[in-house]
Formats: sequence, C-alpha cells, structure tokens
Amino acid sequence: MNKFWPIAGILGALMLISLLVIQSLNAGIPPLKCKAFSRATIDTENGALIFSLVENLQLYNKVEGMLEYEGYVKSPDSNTYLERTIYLSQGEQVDTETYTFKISKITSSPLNRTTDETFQQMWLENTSDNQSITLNLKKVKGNMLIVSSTYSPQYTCVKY
Amino acid sequence: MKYLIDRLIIFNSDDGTLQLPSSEDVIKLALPAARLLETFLSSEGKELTREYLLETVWDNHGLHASGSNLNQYVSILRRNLALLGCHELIVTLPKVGFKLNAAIHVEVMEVSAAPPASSQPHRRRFSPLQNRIILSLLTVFLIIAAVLGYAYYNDTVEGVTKLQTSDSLCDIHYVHNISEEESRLVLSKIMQVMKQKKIVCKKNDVVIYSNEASISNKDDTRELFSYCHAGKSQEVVSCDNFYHYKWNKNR
Repeated sequence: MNKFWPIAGILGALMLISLLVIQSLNAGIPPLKCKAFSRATIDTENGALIFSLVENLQLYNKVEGMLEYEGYVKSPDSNTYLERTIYLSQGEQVDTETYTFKISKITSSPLNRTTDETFQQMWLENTSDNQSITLNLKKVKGNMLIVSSTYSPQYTCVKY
Repeated sequence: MKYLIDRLIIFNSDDGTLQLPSSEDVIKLALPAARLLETFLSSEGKELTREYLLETVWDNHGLHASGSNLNQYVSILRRNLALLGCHELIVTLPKVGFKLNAAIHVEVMEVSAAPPASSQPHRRRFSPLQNRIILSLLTVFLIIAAVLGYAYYNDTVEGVTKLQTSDSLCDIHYVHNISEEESRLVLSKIMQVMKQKKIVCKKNDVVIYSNEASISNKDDTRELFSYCHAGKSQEVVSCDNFYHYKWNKNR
C-alpha cells in the first residue's frame, strides 16, 4: 500500500496547525479581560491622594472595551469609596501592541462617593484630554500584561 | 522458488518445506537444510566441493559450520527425501564433496513473485518526486516548529530588560532597554523598594519596575512597582501595583 498520501496529509495538517498558531500569536491582544490590584499615590498641591483600587480592563475586540475602577481613595482630609466605569469605543490599532479608543462615557455607581475632581487626579494619568485614551499592552511573561498610558506604565494586570 | 523433485516431491525454498502433492504430508526443513537443498537443486549436477557448500550455506549467512555439520545436514536431507520416496538425490564424491544425481529429474515449477526481503536491502517505498514532497513538507514543518519553540521559550520582551540577580529566585524586569551597567544600579534601586515594602520575592514570582524621569528634572517622576505572585501551577495569579506620581511642589 502506498503510504505517501497519508504521510503527506499528516505533514500538511501539522503545517496548517502551526501556521494557525503563528497567526493567532500575531493577531494582537483583544479580546482581553485583565485585572490588577493597584495602589496609586498621586502627589497634588493639597497633599497626596492614595487610590487603593481593583482595575479591570476588558477589550471586547479591537473597537470596543471598558475600564472599571473600584476601591477607596484616601486624601489628607477624607476617605471615600470610588467606583467608575469608562466605556471605550471606536478603537484603532496603532502598532502591534498599541490601541487608541474614544472615551464614549464615564459612569459612577450609586455607591460612589468620590468626586470627579479627585477621580481625575488618577484618571488623567491615563488620558490627557478625557476624550481619547491610548493603551499600550505589552506581554511580559505568560498571562501578564503591562498596561501603559502615553505618560508611563500604569499597572501590570493578569489575564483571566 | 518451487522445485519438483523426481516428479514426486515439491520443495518450496521460500518456506523450506517438502511436500508430496498427492498427500497432505509436509516436512519443514531447518533453515540450513533448506539452503543446502536449494544449492543442490540449482547446481545443475555440477560437483560441489565441501568448502563451497560450507561457504554458501553457512559462512555467507554469518554462521559457522564444520565438515561434520555438513555431513549431518546432508544425511538429514537424504532421510527426509527418502521418507517421501526419493532416494539417492545427493551423491557423495569421496574426498571432494557432493553433487546432484543427474539421473533424478529436477524441474523448476515457479519463481517466487517477491524475492525474500533480505535480498533487496534498498527497497524503494516512494517515487523520487514523492520523496522530495515529503522532505519539503517535513523541512517546512520543522522550521515552523523551531520558530514556535523559540517564541515559546524565549522570554525576552522588546523594550523590557530582564535583570538577573543571584540573590533572588524571582524574575525582575525593568521597563526600558538599558545597559548592563545601568542594570546594576536599577537592580539595587529595586532591591531597596522591595525592602521598603517588605516584599520577599519567591521563585516564579515576577517584579516589574519602571521609573519615568527626565535627566534634567528628577523631582517629578512616575514610578511603577508591580509585584506579581505565582500560584500553584507556577503561573502568575495576581499583581499588586504601586504607582507613584511624584510631584515636588516646593521646586
């Protein structure tokens, strides 16, 4: 029996699978669900603000996503609960690991007691104009991603 | 190959059997005996010296036999042939060897369709074109597998420097490409931060550090220290981040 075609078929299938794996590796990061614990200290003219938050970044695809912040903010004179959701849309891929999104909406939960002004002190480390956001997502090792704004790396999150 | 001996006995050299077609009796010969009989049957009645037979039946097959072994196998053949009704097929030539009795009719009945495997060591399985196709596919697959393997095991990330330290078992990364000299300074700074935060970096844990400051203005900096700890499966399960936007309002 001629075994050529079965062997050629198996090798062809292995090549196809390998090419699909390579394609998936180069396909970019979204969709993505990534979470991090964060303690952000922001020095202001009225003293330091300490944000102890859970940050949750979800990109449904390369066009839409959302960012969620939940935790507490400690200022020199108060300690308040913070819960915000930022909705992202009209995303565009800038390079292999950078995406820009339009900030379509920012909502507060009913439990939120942190003022917009305080929230902005932290949030404006991610965006300068509150209209758009540029996210650089760098894979470090395994399931970890360094999320950077245009200013600086902001946090390392773990995919879930 | 099949031989008809004395118009009576069929000898199949492929399986070494002697058979009477008129009955179901089959005698299975030992391998040297079968080879010896085939040598006689194909000799066309020529004289076969003892040396020639020893070489052809045993030596050429990696075996060693003495003259008495040869005599023993000749007598086995004679006995088995006699049992089937053929006498005096092999004639002894004193001090020389043996020969096939020309008076006994020997006929080749059929030639084996496929010669024994041992006689064709370079049997070809595929055509040259098929061999080339398989070789090409295999080469491409191996290249792809090597690329994937390299990508999987190579943990260097563009724009990130992995700082090695003999004291620590965890991975420490700095989010910038820096020189070896700078690496030592940064590592020392990271160790300080870890000490301050009372973080003990264990095996499989990962530390990521970044410090964004200009050379001219080191008062205002953005610093990120991430401590990611590994779970049971040695994969990182969560990261604690310490971000500090330092602003010197007294400047």
